[in-house]
Amino acid sequence: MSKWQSSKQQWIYGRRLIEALRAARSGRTGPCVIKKAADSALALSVRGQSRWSRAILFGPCKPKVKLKACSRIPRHRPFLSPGKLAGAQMKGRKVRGRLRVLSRLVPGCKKLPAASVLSETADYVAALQMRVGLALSQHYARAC
Amino acid sequence: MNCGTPSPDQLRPASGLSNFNWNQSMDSLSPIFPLPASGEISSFMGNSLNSMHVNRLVQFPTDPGFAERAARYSCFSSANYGAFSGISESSGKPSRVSSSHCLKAKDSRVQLEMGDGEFGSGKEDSSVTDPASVLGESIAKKRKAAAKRKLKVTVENDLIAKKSRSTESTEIEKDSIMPKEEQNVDEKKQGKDDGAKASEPFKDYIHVRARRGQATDSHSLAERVRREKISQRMKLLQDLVPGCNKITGKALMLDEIINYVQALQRQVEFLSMKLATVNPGLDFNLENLFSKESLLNQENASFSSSLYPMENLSASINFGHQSNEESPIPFTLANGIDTHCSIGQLDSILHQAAIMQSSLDMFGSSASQVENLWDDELNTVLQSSFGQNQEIGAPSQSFHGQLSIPHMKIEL
Repeated sequence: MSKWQSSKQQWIYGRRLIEALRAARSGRTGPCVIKKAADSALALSVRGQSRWSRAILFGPCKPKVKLKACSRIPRHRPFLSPGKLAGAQMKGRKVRGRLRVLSRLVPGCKKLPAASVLSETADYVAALQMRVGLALSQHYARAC
Repeated sequence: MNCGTPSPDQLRPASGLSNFNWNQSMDSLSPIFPLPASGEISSFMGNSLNSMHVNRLVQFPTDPGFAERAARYSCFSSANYGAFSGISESSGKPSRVSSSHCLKAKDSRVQLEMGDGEFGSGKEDSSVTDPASVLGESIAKKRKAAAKRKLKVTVENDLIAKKSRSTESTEIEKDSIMPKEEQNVDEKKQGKDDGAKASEPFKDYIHVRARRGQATDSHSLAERVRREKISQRMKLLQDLVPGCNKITGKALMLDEIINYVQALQRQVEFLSMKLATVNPGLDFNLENLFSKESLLNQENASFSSSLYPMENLSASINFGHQSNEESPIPFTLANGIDTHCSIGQLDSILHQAAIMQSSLDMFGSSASQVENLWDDELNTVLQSSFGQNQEIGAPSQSFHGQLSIPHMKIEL
């Protein structure tokens, strides 16, 4: 999470953004293209180390490609088999529902266990914060 | 009976039990102590001994130090309680504290301490054998506790050294788990857990020790591991999302996180759209970008300024509803910036969320016009957020209460 706040990471993101936008410039200019370019730039700066970035980059592709790309990512530790009944009771229905919503919000977290969803959201939130800050600074640079 | 007792008046207030012991001890003491002929000093010694003795006897059921003192004294006596010396180290400190505490009440400390030592040097089986049963129990408990602690330490060391698989390790832990007597289990557990985790970075399984007073079932152990992981991650998220320090409870926290993620996503899309429309040339000046790094760092810390673009963009959307062209948008942006200066800073995330809600409502009212601007992804986001807003009961209502203020400001 702290990597997103380092200026080095911001520099990397800025560079990738510029490259992506220049590449997109040749194609049709529309709002979706720019957004996708920005998304891909953000995901690229992660170098595919988090699930959501991989989901953004390889969104339309089949899961096989995803698995190939994430070979160097450390596997999730296999959990000890919990008592299923007790485990379900532990998480109330409300919490479960909200976790599901959260997993839908963060790209690529549909079928993940709760702990991974939370870690992915932490990373995603940090990345979004950096991105918003950068875009804001851009905007104010133009406005002034 | 009364020979050698200098002050029988002071003996009577003592309890009947102590009288017997006192008389016996005085009888045995008198040959040992080189008592001077003067009655005053002997009476003084007798008084001091009496008060000390009475205090001790009164105290001994509750005084843990008494066992220690008796142990020490008994070392001199013929009856050899050998184990006491080993335990004296562990309980030496509290005994010294307690002994000094009761000694403070006396007048002359030095003579009392002398008296203690010489008292112990004499053969005082009678005074020692009475609390012997109590002594035995307390010492037995201390011995057990010390042994258990030592056993635990060795077992844990073995565990860390072995690096065995999880099934075997859980069995070993179950065998060695002594139920519910330890005081320092929790500290050891955390220390050993960290050590175990740190020393086994490549293992797939995490060694867990059951805490005091909790079930040692493998299922509940695993569940506890899961829950602790999840709570760790929730704490991480709590640090990231602003304004979540006061909120306790998973459901509310998740609420806040969901709102925040949605807000960030919408912000990102708005900003990228706006930048694209404002700057059709797509010439981003890198130096210009990073000359504002200080601004960026400030904004990362607090999101008060992030509210401005939201209001700005919602103002632009208002205009966008009327005319679906792109040319008026730069004008609205300029107007928007002027209005921002008049609006004060809204610091809390609640205000931001309220603005999100208001922008959502505007979207809902004119979905057809919006669709031209946004792509399908945003629509799905909005639909999911709509559905989620209907699910949430109380928290969203708190947002509605603040809608009036941002509404007015936006309409400026």
